[in-house]
Amino acid sequence: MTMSFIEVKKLCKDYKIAKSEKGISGAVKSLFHREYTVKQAVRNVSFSLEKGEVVGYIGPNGAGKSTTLKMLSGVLLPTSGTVSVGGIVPYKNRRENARHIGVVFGQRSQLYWDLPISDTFDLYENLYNLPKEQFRKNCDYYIDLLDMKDFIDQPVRQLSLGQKMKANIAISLLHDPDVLYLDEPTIGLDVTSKKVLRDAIKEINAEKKTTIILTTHDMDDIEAVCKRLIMIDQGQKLFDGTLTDFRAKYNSGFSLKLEFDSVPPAWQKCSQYELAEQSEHQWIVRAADGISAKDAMIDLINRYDPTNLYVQEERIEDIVRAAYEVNK
Amino acid sequence: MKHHVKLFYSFFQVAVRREMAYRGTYLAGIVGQWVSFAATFATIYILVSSFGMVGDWNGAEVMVLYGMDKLAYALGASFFFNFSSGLSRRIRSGEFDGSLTKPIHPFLHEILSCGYNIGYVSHISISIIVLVIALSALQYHITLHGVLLILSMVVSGALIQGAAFIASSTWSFFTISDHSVLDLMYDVRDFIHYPITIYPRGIQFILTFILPFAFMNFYPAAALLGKEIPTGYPAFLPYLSPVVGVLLFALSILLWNWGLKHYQSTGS
Amino acid sequence: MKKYFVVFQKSLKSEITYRSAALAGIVSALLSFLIQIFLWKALLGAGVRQDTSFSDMLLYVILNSFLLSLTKGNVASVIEASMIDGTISMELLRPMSFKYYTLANIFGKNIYGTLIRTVPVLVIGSFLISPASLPDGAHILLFVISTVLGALLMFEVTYLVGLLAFWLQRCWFLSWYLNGFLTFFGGTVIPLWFYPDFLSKISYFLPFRYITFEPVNFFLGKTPVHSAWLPISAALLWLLALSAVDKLIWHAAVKKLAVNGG
Repeated sequence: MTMSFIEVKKLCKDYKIAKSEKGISGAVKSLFHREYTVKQAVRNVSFSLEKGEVVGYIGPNGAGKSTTLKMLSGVLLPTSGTVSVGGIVPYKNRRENARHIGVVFGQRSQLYWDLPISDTFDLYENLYNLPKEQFRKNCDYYIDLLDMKDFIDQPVRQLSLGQKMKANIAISLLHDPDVLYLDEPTIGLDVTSKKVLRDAIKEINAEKKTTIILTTHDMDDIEAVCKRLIMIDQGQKLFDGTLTDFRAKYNSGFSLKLEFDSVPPAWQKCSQYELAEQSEHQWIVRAADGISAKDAMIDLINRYDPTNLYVQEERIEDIVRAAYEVNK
Repeated sequence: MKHHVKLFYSFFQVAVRREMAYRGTYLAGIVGQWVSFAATFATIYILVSSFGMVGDWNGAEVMVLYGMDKLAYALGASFFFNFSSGLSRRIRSGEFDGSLTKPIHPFLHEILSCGYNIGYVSHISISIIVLVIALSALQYHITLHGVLLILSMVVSGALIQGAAFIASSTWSFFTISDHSVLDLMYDVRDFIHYPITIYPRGIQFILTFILPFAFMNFYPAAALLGKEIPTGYPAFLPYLSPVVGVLLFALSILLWNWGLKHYQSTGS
Repeated sequence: MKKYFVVFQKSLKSEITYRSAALAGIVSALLSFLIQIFLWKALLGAGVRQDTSFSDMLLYVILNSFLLSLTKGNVASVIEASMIDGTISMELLRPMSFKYYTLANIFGKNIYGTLIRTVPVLVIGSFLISPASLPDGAHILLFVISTVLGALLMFEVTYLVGLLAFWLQRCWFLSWYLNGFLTFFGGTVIPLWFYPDFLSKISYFLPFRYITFEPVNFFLGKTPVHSAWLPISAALLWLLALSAVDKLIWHAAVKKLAVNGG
């Protein structure tokens, strides 16, 4: 059996959380003896990735996404289980691993607040001991790709969230890592910046063959850049497969948008359709499983005679929400 | 090695450029610290000279004591103060995890990326001035031997101070705390502002063998000026500062690494 | 008046929740007291100098650190922080005076820490301080009056310096200047009566000695009742003068904010 590029086997991580006791005597007591509760942040998660894959790692807050990334990048030791990235065990050979990975942990900036980005670039050239030529080439490539020319010489404190994120991503890629871990790269960004980032991530993956794992809350990120999806909740893996399979597994149907010129007729309750949203001249109607789009359209036109009718595939965001609900 | 020197230099450049981004503040800060230290030096000098002696040390001798302490402290603090006082915050904000994803030891990366407080230039300059004035008032004959002795003592003192900073910061790996351990370190350090011979034997013992801050200034100054050390202590003790410095520094790094291991396995 | 009291209560309450800080405060206060005990034992022994005994000096040290910890505050860093995160305009919209809001805040913050630090020191001190050092009724009254004035004066000085933050990018260094002057001319570390004559004369013309030094002088009975009017009226004059100045600076600051934005 050949090994995949990234192998995660039966990975577990427990956190011990100290109970805090009340009162001064409690504070004194806690100096000597503490009681803990154990939280299982990651439970028995296994997956493998081939070189060059882009995988979306999703789950609600506190699902264990960041904890997994921290174990993959060598920040945390697993409680049990194993990780191997390109043949290296990150938490045993942290420094060697660090040469081959790029990490961006959300908005936690690696940049110096008072200085332009170019200063941090120079620092990383020395930190990773990069050959001059590789460094120059990559600088030019990422400055161009992420459209950073206009703000490369401005102090970081004057930059927008989107500009800082671009810079953080560029910095984590200067040493041509094999893997890039992105923890919530688009959080808090506006629509345009999100699009630029998504396009850039796709481009980097195509051009440099970088393996990418990204966690996100924004399902549009997943749809735009990932072919594959791993979903966890409460530390456990719920799904691992292609986006198409994900839809097939969790999709509960589709919805239709009906628009009316005048006041719509009264809604007739029935088992096949559900009125999901309703405004003055517009309905969103969800169709039950097993009805074809063609039948639903004909049926609804006959019943309500709308001016316009659109069929909408269910948004991945709604599917994910439904999947979490099922898990509860 | 060559790589490390280059690395060191490029981080140092960044530290300087960061301060220079606020040149006015930097200068005002330097002058402010001079004002503050000059005031402290002057009050202590006034006190001791108005009484003549404190524990057999006269005003100028106490100035040597205080100047050596400040100089060694500032050297240690310029590398380790930001590192030590910021660790807790950096762990909470997740910036510390960033240091764990870099291809150098996280200890080194922390020091390189948040150390170098070049503001300590003011401490260093004023304590050198005070030392020079005090030594010449004592008509101390500067010899090469004496200069080497002073330098080695100051470097050892800086190592002891560095060790104190490193050891205090280790606490941050275990608990989400404020600076209370660092504050406690400062409270204990305050004891060495005066010759330790004024304290009871228990405190002398602690400052020599348990929390050996006395090796930062008291023993070096005693060696330099030929002052009495606590009775019963071996006569070579004042010359042990370099050994104590290197030993404590190494121990503190071991302690820090142990704390780091704990952090990596519990992620507190 | 009531709203300021609420501010005071709120910041007092939020201080009480930091238990480990309280513990650290007690240890820290005891350690620094210990140093002072041995220092003055070494300097004075059983003797008396400048009419000051060991027991007097312990009282001096305790009262000084009590008064300092009650009144310390970093107004500049508060203003700086709210300038950076942009909340300064909200501070100005509050239906109360920024000055008295800050005053209530500082005392609320300090009072708990001060008690925590002072009580253990007093307990130990009570074994070492002789009744001869304690004042009579008139001097206690004078001490209380001048302490109130001194605390207000300390606030006035820190507030005034803090207002400079409106014109500075960063202001951590302001407290260094203040500390320097307070240490040297305020007699907070060493009583001014041990100073050379010309220095102690200069100190009369600066506000710093009226903050903690003069109140402590009353407590130790060093200032006779008939000359009490001098330090008390000096403190009053400084208070009036400085609050006139801070009004001017405040108006300039508000104008600057209105022109440049927060």
